[in-house]
Amino acid sequence: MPPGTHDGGSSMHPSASTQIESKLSARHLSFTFEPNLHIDQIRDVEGNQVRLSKHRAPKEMVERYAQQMKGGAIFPAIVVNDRYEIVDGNTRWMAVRRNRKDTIPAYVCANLSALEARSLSVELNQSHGLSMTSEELHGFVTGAVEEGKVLDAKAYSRMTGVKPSTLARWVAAQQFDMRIAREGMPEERLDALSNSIRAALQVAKLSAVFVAVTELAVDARVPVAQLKMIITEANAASSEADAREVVARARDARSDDIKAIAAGFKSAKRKGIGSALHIGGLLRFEVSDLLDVPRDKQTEMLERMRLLRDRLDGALMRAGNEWDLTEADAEGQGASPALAEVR
Amino acid sequence: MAITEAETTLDLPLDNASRLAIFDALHDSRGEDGPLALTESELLERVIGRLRVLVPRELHLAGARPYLHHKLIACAEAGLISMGSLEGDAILALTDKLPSVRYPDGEIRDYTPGLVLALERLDGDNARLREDRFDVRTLIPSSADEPGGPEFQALLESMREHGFLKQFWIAAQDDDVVIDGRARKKAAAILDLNVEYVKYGSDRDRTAARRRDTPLNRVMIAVQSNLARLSPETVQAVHEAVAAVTRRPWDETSTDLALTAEWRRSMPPEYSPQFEVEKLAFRPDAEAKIQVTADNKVMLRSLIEAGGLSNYKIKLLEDYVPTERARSGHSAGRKAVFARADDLISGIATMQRERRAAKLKVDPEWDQIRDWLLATFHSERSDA
Repeated sequence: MPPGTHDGGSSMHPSASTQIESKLSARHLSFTFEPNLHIDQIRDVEGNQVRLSKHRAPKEMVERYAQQMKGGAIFPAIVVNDRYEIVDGNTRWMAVRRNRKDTIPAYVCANLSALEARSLSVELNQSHGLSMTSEELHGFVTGAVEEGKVLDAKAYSRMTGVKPSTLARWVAAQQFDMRIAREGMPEERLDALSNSIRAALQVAKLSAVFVAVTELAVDARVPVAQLKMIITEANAASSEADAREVVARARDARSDDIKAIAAGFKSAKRKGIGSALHIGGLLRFEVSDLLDVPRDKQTEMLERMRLLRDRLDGALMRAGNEWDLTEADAEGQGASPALAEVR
Repeated sequence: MAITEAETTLDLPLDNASRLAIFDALHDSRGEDGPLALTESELLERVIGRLRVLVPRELHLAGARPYLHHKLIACAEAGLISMGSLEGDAILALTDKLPSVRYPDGEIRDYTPGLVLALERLDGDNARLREDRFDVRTLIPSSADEPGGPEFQALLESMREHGFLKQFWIAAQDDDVVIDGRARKKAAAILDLNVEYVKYGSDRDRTAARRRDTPLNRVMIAVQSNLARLSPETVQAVHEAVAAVTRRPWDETSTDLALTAEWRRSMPPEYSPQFEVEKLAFRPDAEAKIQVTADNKVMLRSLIEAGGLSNYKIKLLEDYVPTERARSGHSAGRKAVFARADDLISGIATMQRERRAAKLKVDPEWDQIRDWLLATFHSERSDA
């Protein structure tokens, strides 16, 4: 008999559930179907279930199930471990007790570790009854990460119904929290960091860079897209000193923001952030791409390109006169041929 | 309905998992002279990750620090730890008393420090090996790999002479994989001999074998049953291959296997529900022999025999009637098979119809059995 199957005719038992059995089999759990598990054998120990709410089996739900059972409704078997500690089916168990029945059909799973029981409970809760809240799921995932488990985002996504990308972000954010605790950074400084920022920071490889870029994220409230660019550049550096230099440069570039935030102000929103993105977008087009315009739009397009050229000419002229680029030039950062030409 | 087995054992506290986590955290804080004392704050730092996995709901409802404090008081009351006070922070140390844990066989024994964590690490190892489809057979040389070689030829010669010696049976796993005995299986196939596979004496033995069948167990079987002929290099290569998949040194896995050996050998008792039955007669003048429960479940063997059929005919109903196994005050030995009266009435009719359609023999007694079921249970209902 392969793991997870049960005896002969009991497979046709109305309380046997192919859905539950397939979930147990997918986990390679050895289980037996027991149509008559005595109610008094079942124990509700701490921790085998994952619902955070105070009342896991709401009274009205227990009442409804009990009435349905009295009316002959068949419910799927509950799930217990081999010590008969309940893993899934609290409401059904309570309803059977309410009806003063002696037994309940149950899947009895062997060798179920605490974490396995919990993740199974999450999966079964999501597939029937009241789905778990995001807070409950988040608590489960972060707890597992904290315990040192490696989560398979796809498997957990199937289990919880949460998108793999969200799960990956939760995991990375939790790993960030654990890493920053090891580095001894006070938690209260990190309150402003969102999960996305935490997940981005966790990617920093070197410990010194991780701490420095976290401080930068806190001090300058750097948006996640910019943080990712800084961290990618630092991770690609050839030495730790170079990597730290990348972060130091990014910090210098945001010194005004850092001062403003430290003084209790929000950093002024620069319009240039938006225009820089658009210019970056335009640079992806070759001349031939810019000329690939439908005939009826060509007049309008030509007018707009002229306007753009005039604005860029003006901007280049003023940049040449107003921007102090001596420091950047000295570091070989600002001496582009275009700028030299304007000057 | 009464309970027959294992229910009389003492129960562990409902928060035993948390107590074990606290015990392990304190036990792990060892210095040269054994575990060191920790303050409550230090312990919280060490154990909170584990508690978040074990009891997130309880932590959520009570708060981490109050929950831990409550559990520490429970541990102190149980004599597992001593609690002193240091500048408002409790100082904690283990006593000589060990917590208890329930083994799979239902027995409550002293806890071996680190047991739960070792079991979970081994679970992780097995999951990775399973995911990797790790096959230890590819790492263990067999004479079957060289059918023309002298070893395999000698085996063929021996089996030609003696046949397949039944005392040297082969154990096949649930998925028909043979870990040990590949050469004999291949030789038997060449010589057209019947292979003697291991036979399980009871369902419990079969369940026990299935329960033990993990990837790591297969590794141990493969290595240990061939140890005499394997070179140390081959054994080491197997261990290294396992370590590459589990992502931790074999020595650590081996230590965990040793720590958990007693646990893994412990097998749960078979669950035996006991039905309270009354006996009914098949005919007015016959002895009351058919066992029936208050909720109209009928013991199949008693029904079929009373109806004049041999008990092996129960098998005919296998695909038509859901069954339940239980003991009654009148059944000894293996658990008896019961079925609901309504399921029997419809199942017997379907079985008869399908057998007739397939031009198979249908014993006339089935009609009488079905009539008895209808008369007994449906008239009861209409009386009610």
